[in-house]
Amino acid sequence: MRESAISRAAPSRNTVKRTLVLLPCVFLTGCVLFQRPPRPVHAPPEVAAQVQFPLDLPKEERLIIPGTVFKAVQLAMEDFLPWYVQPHRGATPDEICLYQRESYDVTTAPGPDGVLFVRFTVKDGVCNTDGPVLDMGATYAIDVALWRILAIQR
Amino acid sequence: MTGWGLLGCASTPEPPPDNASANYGRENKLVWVRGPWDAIKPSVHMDEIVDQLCPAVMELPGARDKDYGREYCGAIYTLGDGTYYASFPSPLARTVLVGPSTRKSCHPPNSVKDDRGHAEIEADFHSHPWGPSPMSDKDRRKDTQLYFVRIQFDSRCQIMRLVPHHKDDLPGELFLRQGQNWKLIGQILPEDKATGTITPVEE
Repeated sequence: MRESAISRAAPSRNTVKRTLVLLPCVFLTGCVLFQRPPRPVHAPPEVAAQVQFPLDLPKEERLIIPGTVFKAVQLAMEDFLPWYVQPHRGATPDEICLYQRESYDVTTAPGPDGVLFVRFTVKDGVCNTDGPVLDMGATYAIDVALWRILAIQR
Repeated sequence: MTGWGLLGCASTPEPPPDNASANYGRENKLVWVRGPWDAIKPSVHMDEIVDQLCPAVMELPGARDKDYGREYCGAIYTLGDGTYYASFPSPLARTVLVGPSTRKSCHPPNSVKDDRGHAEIEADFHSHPWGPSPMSDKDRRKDTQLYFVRIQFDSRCQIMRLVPHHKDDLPGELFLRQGQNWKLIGQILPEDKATGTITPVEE
């Protein structure tokens, strides 16, 4: 009687096998988190050879981004749209557009106590063939001393 | 960490809302909604409509579910009889999936179907599934304005009203509902209408 109770409670050999087969699948689904972001694509040498760098970056048009701001934007963006995110199945052209980082403008402003606010806003005139885009942005409060996300407002 | 990954990988897009729903849908990509919504009592005062909206919308599926939730968009309209009506809210939205979270942004309706007559939309309304969550900068931009008034509320039922003045040179005005009153909290100066930048109004 006792033996039969144990055999009911213990997993069968088939169950164990199934678990062993499925286990790698379970871990593999999280593997993307352990991958390194892909290296940027480089143009072939013949294309690179055609690029002419100016003596200096034009004073009137250049944009200097302070390092702290750059790092805070990068940190927020890795949360807002991580590098590995791909459009979902059946995404519309507007939705595919919203998955692209370049579809967003970034506004930053310093806050109190070492906070930098970083706001992502869908650029004017993009991703809107189905009508205006309202709430696809977000504002992050970044702690630029400890480099962490303090809060997100959507 | 793996759990997060699992969730992210297991997270699949919701099936698209039924475009053939009796109460909302798309025609030539643009969203239409049906009215009147029987959860909202008609009134000759728009504010009485506004005050009924948030509690009713927050009862809808996913309306308070933050990153996993959905927004609802609808319209406040008249039939030319001096009475305001609310349409059914529509969850038709754009979706972006990031990890386990689902970002959804509903489309303001382009038209209202009311079998009793021609519906003139006076205001659009939309909910945010988070709280606190004020009217976003994109909500305030001139190029997203369709009607004279925009109403927005969050999952805590904090209600905001934007009078964009997008067709004239007056400054836009942003109000916060406080009891039975609207408190002016900011202006959008004519030169800032494109960006929706708010100039706070001093007490």
